[in-house]
Amino acid sequence: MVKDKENDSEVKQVEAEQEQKQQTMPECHNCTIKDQTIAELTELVQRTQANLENYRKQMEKRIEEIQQTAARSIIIQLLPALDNLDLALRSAAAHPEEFIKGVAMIQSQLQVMLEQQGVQPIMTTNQKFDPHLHEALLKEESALPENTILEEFQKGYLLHGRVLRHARVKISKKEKK
Amino acid sequence: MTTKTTSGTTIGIDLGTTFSAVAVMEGGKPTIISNAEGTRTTPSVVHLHEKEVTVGQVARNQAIVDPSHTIRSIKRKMGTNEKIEIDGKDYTPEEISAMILQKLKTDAEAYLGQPVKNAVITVPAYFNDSQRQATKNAGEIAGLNVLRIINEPTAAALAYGLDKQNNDHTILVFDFGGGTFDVSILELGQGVFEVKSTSGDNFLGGDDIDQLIMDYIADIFKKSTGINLHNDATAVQRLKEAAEKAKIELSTKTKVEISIPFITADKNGPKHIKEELTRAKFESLIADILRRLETPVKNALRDANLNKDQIHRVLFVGGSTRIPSVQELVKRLLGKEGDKSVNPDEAVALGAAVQAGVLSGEVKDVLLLDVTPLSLGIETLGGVFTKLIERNTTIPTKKSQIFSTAADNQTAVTIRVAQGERSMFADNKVLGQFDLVGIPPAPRGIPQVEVAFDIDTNGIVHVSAKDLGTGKEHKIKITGSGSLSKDEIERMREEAKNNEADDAKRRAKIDAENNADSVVYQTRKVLEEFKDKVDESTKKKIESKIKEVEDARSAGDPDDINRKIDELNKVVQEIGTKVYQEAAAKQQASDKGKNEDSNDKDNVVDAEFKEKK
Repeated sequence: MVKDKENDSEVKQVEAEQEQKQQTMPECHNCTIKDQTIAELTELVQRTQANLENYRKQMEKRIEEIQQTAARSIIIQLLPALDNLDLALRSAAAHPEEFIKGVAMIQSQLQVMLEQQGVQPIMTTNQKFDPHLHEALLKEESALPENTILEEFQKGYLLHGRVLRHARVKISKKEKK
Repeated sequence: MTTKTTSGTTIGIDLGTTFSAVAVMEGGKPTIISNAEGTRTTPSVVHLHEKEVTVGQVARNQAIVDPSHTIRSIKRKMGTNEKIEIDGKDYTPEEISAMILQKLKTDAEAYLGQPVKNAVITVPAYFNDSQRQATKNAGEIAGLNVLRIINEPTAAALAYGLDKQNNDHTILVFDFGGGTFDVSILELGQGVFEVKSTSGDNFLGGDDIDQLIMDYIADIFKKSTGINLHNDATAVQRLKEAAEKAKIELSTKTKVEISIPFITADKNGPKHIKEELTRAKFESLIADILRRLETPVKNALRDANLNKDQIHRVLFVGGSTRIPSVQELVKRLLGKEGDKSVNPDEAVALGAAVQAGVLSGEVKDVLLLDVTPLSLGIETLGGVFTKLIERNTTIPTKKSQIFSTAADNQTAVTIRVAQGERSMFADNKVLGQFDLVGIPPAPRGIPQVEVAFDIDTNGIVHVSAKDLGTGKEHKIKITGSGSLSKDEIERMREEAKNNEADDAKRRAKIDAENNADSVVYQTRKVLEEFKDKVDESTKKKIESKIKEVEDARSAGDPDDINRKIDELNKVVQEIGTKVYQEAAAKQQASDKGKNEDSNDKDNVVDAEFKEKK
């Protein structure tokens, strides 16, 4: 047993030496190949990652450009309404009745344009209050069922079915008896 | 060794007093996740009624008419034993916070299309153990495995990438949000952040600023009309929106018009608000708030036992840090500009996502890549700096471009390499140069020289130039490009910004001149080639147009040069048309082929080298 132990420690010593050798100079053929492969793969993965990041940066730039052009196409459609408002204001004093008619036309012009962009007004009066669509500013006693919309303060809109702006409303509460 | 589990992503959550946000690592970069309503931050408001829980904007929509079921700013109560009673049932602050976290989790899952299991949640640096524990509990109630609770200023520093700094750093995080103001001083050493001191004001934020603007406008309105708008819920809402909008616009403009048509009406008819607010007036309105920001900064410095010169960087967090006078105040107090390159509303959530990425093994050291701080490029004809790699490009990266010669029979080109953002080569920092010789003699624009830039992970730039005709190649290695200090880089960017207009003018002039030279050269070549086919009068006409281009070129007005070039091109096209017509008539395909050839070659030339001196 004693001998074995000695042997054991000897073996360990040799192993330790070998290990040291390996650490100081990786001479074994496989190690060099392995190291090389690791270095190559590391570089590959880094370059792939860098490519991905640079691609994303390009995309961000592209998206920004697209956003600007998207705004452009909508603004172009807004300009006629603006022109018509100019005309309306010029005739306001002389022909007040025609002025009102004209402004109403501009309003529907804007509504049509927005509708084409996927904008829909949110229904309010006499509807049941829905916090997903409406923002309640006031509560008033009423004979109507609780949480019925009594009045619309500001129109709300949906864009492609998602809330663009909540409608601002007054809702009912139970009458005190 | 840890293996990455793909079941469930890790998100980073900024659980704020007035607003919360959630972010995730995407392709190595933290990205904010929009909520179901389509906004990037979610109001930290909960509405609880008959077991129905709503969070965020939807909860806010009921807050005014149903305050008894609405809970705001629950963060202020975290770690206390206070109970919130709703309809006879008690809720702990943890439970309420959990409802907010649950909503963020659900929205993140909808965005990611997979379940979210793990989260990193941020808390103020001054939170004590019980407040931290409460936040962690809230996460667990929401069904999240909270990997770590980290400090908000630390998260901000992570969002700014400060953990990648090698040297020790002292950072002051100036966090001025919607409802709270926090100052924290952090010390960063070997990638570990230590909080040195914290200070702040728990009841000071952007909402107070909106209120001041509202009061100011309402006062003016009352003076002129006698109507008190504060009694009118709709008017108050519209006023609040207009005030916030004015505040935001005043960060970039020096005056704004607050215009609210038909705000109200009396017996004389409708009333409108149309009021101008200058930045100076705005600053006088918020002077008191600005003063209240000073003491916490001073206290934080005092508690950390530091003077202002020992602070290396100041980071801005919170939307209210966008206000110029707040930024000026910081500069006055600390003697340096605050860093605002990361969106201040999102920095904390983004940083939490970075930490989440590290903890879940998504961010490996080997994949934390640098970017080039400045553009890299070479000198081309007329002393122009042609960028091959734009600044902010992630490295390692490789880009190449084909160039040609600027003169007939030019047999060598000099590749001069520089970095910077200016459009003229001489204004940038020169990194090195070399010659590529032995190019076979050929007309200008014919040889093709491929210049390639390859930046490795260590920031070492390998520049090579290869004559594609002969395969001859020459390359150099530039190691000094990363040695610029942050200040130097900043200075160079600043210079480029300040000189942008002038540089663009010079660039336009040189481009026009180069264009003139090239067109004159090509025209002469064409004229020589087809001298038998062009009659004397046309020849004279062209010669005179060439002269005009040359005169314009020496006069140096780029618009004029370009105009003359256009005129010349028109005249030359006439010959082209004539020649083609004749050629077509003669059915001589070979002539046609020649012409197309020379056109093709023109297109290859991206830019031209300056002639080797």
